[in-house]
Amino acid sequence: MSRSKKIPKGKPLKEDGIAKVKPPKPWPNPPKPSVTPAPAGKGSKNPEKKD
Amino acid sequence: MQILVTGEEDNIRQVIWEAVLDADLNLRYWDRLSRRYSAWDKYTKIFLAIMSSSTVAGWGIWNEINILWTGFSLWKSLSAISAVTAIVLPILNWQRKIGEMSNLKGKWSRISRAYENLWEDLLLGRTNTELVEEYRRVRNEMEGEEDNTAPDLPHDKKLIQRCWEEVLESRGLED
Repeated sequence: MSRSKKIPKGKPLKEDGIAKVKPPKPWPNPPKPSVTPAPAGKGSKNPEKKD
Repeated sequence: MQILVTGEEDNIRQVIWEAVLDADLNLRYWDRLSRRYSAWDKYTKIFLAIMSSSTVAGWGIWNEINILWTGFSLWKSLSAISAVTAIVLPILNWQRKIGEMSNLKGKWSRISRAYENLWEDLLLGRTNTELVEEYRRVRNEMEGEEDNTAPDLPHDKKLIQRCWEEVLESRGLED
């Protein structure tokens, strides 16, 4: 009969490698990359035109 | 020339971002914990040193306190506490735990710096292949390093929550 391995109480979650605690909630998403204007004549992702 | 695949870029960005924040969380957690145990260790030793001092025991103030609190000997109570503490202290082995926590703090500090550099590289437009290679190197060589830490280090959920909030606050990510 196989028994599930009991994790000692109070032990930080430790897989392979050094002891590591995990965040209690998911982290917010990373900040969006800033959009840099494309060089002139090469076309641009941003179709907006300025007068 | 690097071929930009939006989905792949987003995934790399997400993975590195979470690694940066995880490392920051761990650095703060092990730092706070090692400081807390060091403080406890210091104050306990000061308390034991005071209680073992015959000079302090001879102070007349103890008799005065006994008069104020009739039937209660403060000195005897403190002596009993110090005796129990002196027995329990070697079993708790805070010195070893402090050493291991400080060691973890040092390791997470190096890992945190490595991931912060990686995040900067990402912002500077380093190629996806280079980023993935460097991420794997940090994760496997630094985070995956063999660890001889004993499995009885504290897992303080409140402290983790506090450190998590600090990470968000320090980066202006709080709600």
